[in-house]
Amino acid sequence: MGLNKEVAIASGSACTSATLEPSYVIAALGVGSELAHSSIRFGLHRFTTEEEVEYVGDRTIQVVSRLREMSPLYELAKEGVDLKSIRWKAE
Amino acid sequence: MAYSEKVIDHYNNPRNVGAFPKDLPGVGTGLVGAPECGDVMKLQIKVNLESGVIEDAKFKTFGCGSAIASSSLATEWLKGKTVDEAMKIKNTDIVNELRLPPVKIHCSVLAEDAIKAALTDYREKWEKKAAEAGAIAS
Repeated sequence: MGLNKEVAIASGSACTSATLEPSYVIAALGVGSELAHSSIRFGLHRFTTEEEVEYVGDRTIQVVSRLREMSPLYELAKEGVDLKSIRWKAE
Repeated sequence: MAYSEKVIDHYNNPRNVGAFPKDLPGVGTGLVGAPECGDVMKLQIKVNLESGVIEDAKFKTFGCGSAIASSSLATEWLKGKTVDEAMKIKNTDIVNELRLPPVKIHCSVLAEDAIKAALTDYREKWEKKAAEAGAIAS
């Protein structure tokens, strides 16, 4: 949401674009659910310029930093808690 | 699927992001959700121990715009309510206020769970203590 007015990006892969599921390719890499759910797909093509890549990189850093300040998982990670050790009460 | 104006507003201007110190008197904490599901919400209330009124609330959420908006809205609604009044907040109220589409209704359900978890935690930690203190004193 922080980037979607300026950049063509998506969560998940093109093949899972109709659902909320994260990319099954990323899931198959075994990275864990937090990373799979936080993955973003950036589309580049032959007309994409280096400046555009730099700009998107900077904006992404800004947005991710903001979201991390709002995240309980980042708070726990900063406190040194191993997120894999937490037993979540899923709904 | 477009986010409603209110969801976008809460995303751009989230209310009450943050955390209370863990040992602050009158604080109840609810932590719900799971990273596998893509949504984790931490909601905290700070209750005035004398009046029983929620005087402050804070949240932190890992999740989509609708999840952030639902928990941000929850902190706005909690302030000024008593614990009993807060227990009556329903996910459908959140859905209506934010105009959440069917695919995002689970975000409002999680916010209601977070509210109830924070209220229950407060009751277990502080209302019981107050009752015990009263019992010992009398």
